[in-house]
Amino acid sequence: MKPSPFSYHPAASVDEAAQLLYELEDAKILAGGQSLIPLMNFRLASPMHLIDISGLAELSEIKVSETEVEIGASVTHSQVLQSEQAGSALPLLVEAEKLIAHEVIRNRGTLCGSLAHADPAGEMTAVISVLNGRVDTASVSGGRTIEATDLFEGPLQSSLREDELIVSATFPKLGPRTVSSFREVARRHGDYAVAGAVSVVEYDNNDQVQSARAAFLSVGPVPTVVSFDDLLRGTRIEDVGHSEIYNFLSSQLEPHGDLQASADYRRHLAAEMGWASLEACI
Amino acid sequence: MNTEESYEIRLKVNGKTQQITAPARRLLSDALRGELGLTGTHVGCEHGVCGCCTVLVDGAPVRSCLTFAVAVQDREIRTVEGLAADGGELHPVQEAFKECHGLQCGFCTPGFLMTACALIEQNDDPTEEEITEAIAGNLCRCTGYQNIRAAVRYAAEIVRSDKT
Repeated sequence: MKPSPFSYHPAASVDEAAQLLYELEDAKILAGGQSLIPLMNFRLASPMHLIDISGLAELSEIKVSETEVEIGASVTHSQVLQSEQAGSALPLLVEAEKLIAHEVIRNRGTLCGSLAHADPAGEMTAVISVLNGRVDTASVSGGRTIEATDLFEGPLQSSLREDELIVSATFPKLGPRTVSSFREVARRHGDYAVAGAVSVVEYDNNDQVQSARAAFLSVGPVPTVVSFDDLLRGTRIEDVGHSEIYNFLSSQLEPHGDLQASADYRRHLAAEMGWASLEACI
Repeated sequence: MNTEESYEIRLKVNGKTQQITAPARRLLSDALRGELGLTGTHVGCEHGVCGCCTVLVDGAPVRSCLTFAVAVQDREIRTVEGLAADGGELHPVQEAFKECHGLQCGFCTPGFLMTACALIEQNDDPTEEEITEAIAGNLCRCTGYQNIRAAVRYAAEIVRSDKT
């Protein structure tokens, strides 16, 4: 229950962090550490070097533009939750943040860190997926943009290269006729969700569905995005109704079973959460 | 034999700055207990679930078992030892936990006290929901949560009455 030895490198800049990540063998980025340190305590991870980016002012900003919300890599969950600017620009961020662990974890854990951790049970992996957001990275060979659809490769596996760190995550704001909602089931509030869904529904000028999609957490190796366009376009969610949505989702989702829930039970919960999050968008 | 690299780490705990020499992997919980002898901070699960090791860093509750000591140099750390006044007068949260039987075996208590302390410093009139939410990350296996909630409620009352 103690981490194995490593060397600690507080980075003075993003450039220095990228340089260290490139030069040092078996190095990891430390931001809040709320996913990494448990893994290290269990010795499921034992990096030789940690590069601490938590003190970098250049990564500590939340920027809101006309169209997007950009969260720097050292911004904690609590800072996102407390940001009135981010909350009014994209209420879904706040709704999701409230579901992430407990305040004590949110006080150190970072939003970008939870994306880099790539846990399919993570709320933010689902949010960035359903919104088609992106992350920007830095490395000695230059930064790049990774779209959410390309970011997650498997459980705890992102498409980040070993010499690359996330510098920010960007979430598109929702349009004026677009509604979102997050629903999940956890044994206890703040625990990992057994299943959950976050829906985004865009309405046309006649208040009928223009497009609708949901991202599901804890039902596969990566966040699973399901489009409802064929089922809902040009109609209303309430007219299609619970049973059709439930059956559709049951046929689309292929969750795994584990100690918390059998595959069938998890499919049931995910389909119900999918419906509940859509219904909340009516 | 390889000797592990040591770091000179400045820790500012309960207003007092002390220097320790420890490897980077030293968890804040172990640095407080081992290097500084502040054994009031308890270590339960060591993976961030139980809440016994909760301390305040710059006023915010954090898990000291999920924090490396080397990463919180010069930050204001407060532990359960810093709650009571120098003369031994109990802090309102300690007084309230005593009054309301908010502890039994006492193992989880330091974590609850620090969590409750952070809550009432931010908000001395919390709702039932806010109290429940604040302590939701701390586990107690013997006292039961009803008395703990009552204690937090009463601690807030003491703080409010002290102000008037």
